[in-house]
Amino acid sequence: MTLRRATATNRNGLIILDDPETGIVEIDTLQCVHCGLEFPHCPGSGKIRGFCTRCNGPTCGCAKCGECVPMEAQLEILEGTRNPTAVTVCGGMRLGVIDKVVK
Amino acid sequence: MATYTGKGAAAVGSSLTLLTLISSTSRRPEIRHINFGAASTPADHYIDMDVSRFTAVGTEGSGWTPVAHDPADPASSSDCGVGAFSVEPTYTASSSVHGWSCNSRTCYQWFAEDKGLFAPATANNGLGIRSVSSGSSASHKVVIHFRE
Repeated sequence: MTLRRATATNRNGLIILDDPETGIVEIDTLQCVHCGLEFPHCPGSGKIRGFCTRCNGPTCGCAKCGECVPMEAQLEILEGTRNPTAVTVCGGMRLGVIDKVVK
Repeated sequence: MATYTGKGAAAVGSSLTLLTLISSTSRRPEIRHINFGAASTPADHYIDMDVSRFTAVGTEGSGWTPVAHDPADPASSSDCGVGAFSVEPTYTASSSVHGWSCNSRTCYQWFAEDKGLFAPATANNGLGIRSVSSGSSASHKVVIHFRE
């Protein structure tokens, strides 16, 4: 028997745990549109997540994802093809590196 | 896009890498599926796993040539490294893109339905699947499907 913990409206992925005691458990996952973190959808967990209205998707809730630097831009920064200081943002003032945000 | 399989087995423990997916400069590899479980008779112990980006590949125990799912596809431009690593990859702090904790008796699978886990198209960069901590040092196997 499959136990479905919770479902997300627009899930990005699916976790399937096959445990000898609990049986098969399925958990939907969401992906942060900024850092790309894949996290389980757990309503009532108490964890504070976010939503970026510019990217129209969920964020993981960490401080550095509070400003809008889309995942594509972050990958380009890692590849050295985009200037980190030239990334446009909303919701915060950019100081040049991804970790620093002034509200 | 072509899809490939990479796999490896190694002992889990404190910050021990099981499998790395190493990028090339031409394409971004994208992990679409992860399958993880015990490689020997399991016992009751916990395993805390993590998938993070690295900027130096370290020294792998052995290599794994990615296998194309479609034999007509070209060879993968990415590469895989399998533990046990004598020198661990250099992981970027706070770069975790996925993680899970489970019992050793549990088989863990993750499937991407939309976007997967991306690594930058930069040489010697990539994604590493490692155990952060564990209650034992038993061997565990991880299989990934990725596309590029």
